[in-house]
This record gives sequence, structure tokens and C-alpha cells, in this order.
Amino acid sequence: MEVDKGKGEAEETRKVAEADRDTVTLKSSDGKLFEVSKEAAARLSTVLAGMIAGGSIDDNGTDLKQIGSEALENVVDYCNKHANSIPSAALISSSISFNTAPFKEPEEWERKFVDRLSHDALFDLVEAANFLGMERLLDVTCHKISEMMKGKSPDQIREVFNIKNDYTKEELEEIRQELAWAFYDD
Amino acid sequence: MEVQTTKKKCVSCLPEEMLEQILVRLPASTLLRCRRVCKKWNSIIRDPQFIMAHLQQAPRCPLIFFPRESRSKKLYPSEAILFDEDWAPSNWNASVIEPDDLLSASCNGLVCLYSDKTTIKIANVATGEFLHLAKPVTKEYKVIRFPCERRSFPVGNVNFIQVYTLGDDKWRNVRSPKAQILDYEIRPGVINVGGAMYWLVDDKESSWGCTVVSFDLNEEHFEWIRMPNHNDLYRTGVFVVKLEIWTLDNKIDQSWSRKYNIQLPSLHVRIPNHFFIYGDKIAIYDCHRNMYFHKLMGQSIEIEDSKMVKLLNYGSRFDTMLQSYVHVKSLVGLHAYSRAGNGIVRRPKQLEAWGLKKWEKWTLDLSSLMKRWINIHQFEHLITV
Repeated sequence: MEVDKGKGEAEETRKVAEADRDTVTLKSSDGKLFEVSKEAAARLSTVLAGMIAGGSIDDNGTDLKQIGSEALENVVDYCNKHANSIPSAALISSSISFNTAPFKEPEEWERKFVDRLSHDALFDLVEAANFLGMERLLDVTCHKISEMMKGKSPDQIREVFNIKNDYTKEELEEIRQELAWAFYDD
Repeated sequence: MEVQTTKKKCVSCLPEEMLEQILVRLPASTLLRCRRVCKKWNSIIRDPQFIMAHLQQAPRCPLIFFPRESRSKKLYPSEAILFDEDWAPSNWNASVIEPDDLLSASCNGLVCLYSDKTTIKIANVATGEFLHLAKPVTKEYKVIRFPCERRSFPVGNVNFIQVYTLGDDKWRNVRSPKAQILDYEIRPGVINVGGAMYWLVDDKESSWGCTVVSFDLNEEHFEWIRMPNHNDLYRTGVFVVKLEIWTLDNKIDQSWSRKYNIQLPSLHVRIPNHFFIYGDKIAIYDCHRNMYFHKLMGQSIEIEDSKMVKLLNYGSRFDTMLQSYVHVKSLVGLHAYSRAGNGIVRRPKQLEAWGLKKWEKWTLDLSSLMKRWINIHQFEHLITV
């Protein structure tokens, strides 16, 4: 179902692309082609902006060997959704507030966008966003991963993120002792 | 990176700077727990640069403080209410703040406390570390002391302040260049924003009756800043219905601009001392001892009762004493500021939710007093009969 939805949107993108022809074609590591609006790509990705400005865009599909088709589809999907969304009132009002937070909270649609991703797809997307210099997408995906860490014990975090415990029992006890006074619960 | 066929992608596969980007968004309490995940995480979280990056972006939350007081022959200890990232009163008692301590400032993750019994104390509320500046032992934190702080009279004779840089040997006096007085007005107090302290001093010549003095903590020089021009101004006490928030845009040409125009719903809704605007929220309280926040959207804001989000009820404390500070829970350590780590104390954590244990003793005392009154009353009744 997810794939169908993705395809539908990809087709829609193609239709839009045909209408104004102002698009770039991106090629994933496994050879699949994706089209994305030139404007959105340049606005959201510093790397693609550089490639467009530098004329290194291939009409038959710019090779992005580092990004798999699933991640690239998500990137393109994100670009299209971003182009259609209107910044919420919260984002506008926060620009005149006193303490400006460096990270803006994800918007509702961005939250939904990353929530539907599988664990692996999320990590592939973080890497893709990092590779393409997509600051906002990186913000949204990092935010999602950090949310997954909140309220979990070290054991749970290791399990969810597949991390090897390289501490000895004594070392762990030492840190526990050191943190016995700290302001957290366990 | 090629398409991976491994079962689960791991965070450790990500480049270290990305892992930092993820961790830096977590609250201080989660980060402390994350130190036990693995050695790599531990070393990232303990890195001073990471701690600074975390401090920069961690949300600024209110810290509500009630200084110790005695009323009706009853002693109330000093206490603080911390709020967590979601603006909920924290379940953890700020154990570094002792019953006699008075809070004088909150700055970049550290708070400054003082009391009659001990010397000035610098503490990190989130990690529970504190350091007494008993015998003066990086140049980033400074403590400013007003020499006649606690004397109410005579006023108008302070023309220097004492500055102590954390890690230094001694206090230094910094004189006011114009022989002008530096006494601050108690009510708004002294605030620190963006590396400078600001306070109000009496100024008969100003139509406001006061002028802003700023003290740049880096350059250590004073500046006198005119209040904004305003046509229908009048200074008010605690009771206000209309509130205008002006910000100082430029210290050099002393230009101000009006950021918000706020209409409070009634005289019963008031604003706390010190800080009351946190990002896009304003903190307010009412005569029933409830504390609220309200979102600030746009420039003209009418605060409606229905849109006020209740934070807590502070029960038996008096709101005239209520102080509110900007606080950020950080991992900032005190080691850099003490000689070889001497003098740093770590206070054990205490789970004491506001309004639970805290008031148990107080209500018990009250009920025993009530019982005594009833007994006396019955006794008097017996005598008269």
C-alpha cells in the first residue's frame, strides 16, 4: 500500500514535471529514476543546488550512487510535500519571539512523514539527507530518532538501535555511582 | 554507502557528527542516562564542546522560586519549582537549593544562590553539582555582587559593584564612571541577557522615573539606556491590565521597538517578577495561586481565560514573593572553575513532587494547630459553663 502511494505520487510528480519541464532527474544506486522539481531540489538541498548551478545535472538521470531507491523515493516525496506545504502560523510567529531555538519543531506533516517510515528506511533517509545537504530533512529525521531515545533505559536503547555494550560490569557501576546524584530517574 | 542487507541499521553506523546532532536534541536527564549505553556515547556526551552545543539549543524553561519567608509566625523555606521540556512541573526536587538559600540569578545552565549562613553558591540544578565560593579559588561565568544588597537604607550610595570571575582568586570592584548610583530596584530585580546584566535605577529626570543600567560582563563597562519614548505612560504596581513588551534593539543608538501589545483578561491575572516571557510563551498567575502560560501569536494579543494553560497551583505560598527565572537544564560542569575539583559537592537526588511530600509536614502542623485551638475553645467553654 505504501508503495502504491509512493508510485501515485511519483506519477503525479512526473505529470507536473511534464507540464513545466522544470525538473531534474535523479538516479538511485540501483538504477531507478526519480524526478523532482528543480526549484524544490535547489531550495532544500545544498548539494543539488550546487550541481544545478554548476551544470553537472544529467538529463538522463544524475547518478546518486550513495542513495538507494527507497531512500531516494522518500527524498523526492519529501521535496514535493515540502513544496506544497504552507509554513504554519507557529513557524511564522516563532521568528519574532525572543529566544530563537536553533531547531524548529517538525510540522505536523513532517512528523507524519517520518512516522510512517520503517526503522531502516529512517536511517537510510538520515544518511541521504546528510549526503545531499538537506538541512531541514536532517532536522526532521534527527528529531525523530532522538524522540525514539526518550524515556528508554540504556538496555532498551541498545536494543532498539542495535548497539553493542562495550562496558564491563565494573565500568557501568562506576558511571552509575558517579551519576547517583543526577537529576534523572532510574 | 551501498544498500545494506543487514537486519537492522544501527546508530553507530552513522558518522559521529550525525550522532551528535541526534543526541544534542535530548534533555539533560536523558543524556545522563545515555552515558551508560556505550563508551562512544559516553565520550560524546562528556565532551565540553558537546555540552556547550547542548546548552545553546536546550529549551529555556521557567524556574519559579519562592524565597524563604515568615508569615504569621510560620516559617516557609525557600523552594524552587522547575519545569521540564514539556512545561510540566518537574517531579524532581532541586536539592541543591537549600531551605535558607536565596536565588539571585540563573544563567546558561547554572544558578547563583546565597544565604546568611554560607557564602555564594554556584549550582547546576539538573546535575546536582554545586560549588561554594568560600575561599576564592575559564573566564565564562561571572558573579556580580551589589555591596549593600540587603540593606534597604540608606539608598543611593552604591557606586561600584563587585565582580568575581569563576575560577579567579579574588573579587574585584568595578566603579561606576559617572559617580552615578547603581542601586537597583528590588521589584524587577537584576536580569542577565546575552552577556550583560540589566537593572533599573532611579532617575528623576526621566519621565519614567527610572533608567536602565547595563553592565557588559565581558567588557565590564556600564551603560545608561534611556527608556523608550511613550506618550501615555504611567508606572504601575502589581496590577496591570494592559501590557506592552518593548525590546531594546540596539544599545548604541538606544532604539526600542514594541514587540507585543498584551491585554490581560482582568486584574486578577498578573505577571511574575524577573522573567515572564519564554520564547513564544508568557507566564502569568492569578489570585487563586494558579500559574499559567499563554501562547504569544502575532503582536496584538488578548489573553483569554479559556486559552490559558494551567501549569500548577502553588498552594500555600504567597505570590508577592514569587520570582521567575529563565532556566536551561544542561550538563555544564563546575570542574573548570574550582581548583583541582576541590569544593565541588554533589547533592543526592530527591524525588519530591511539588505539592506531594513537600506540604505534608506543613498541613500536619496546621491540623495540629487547629486541634489545639479546638481544645482551647472547649476548655474555655467548660470554664465559662
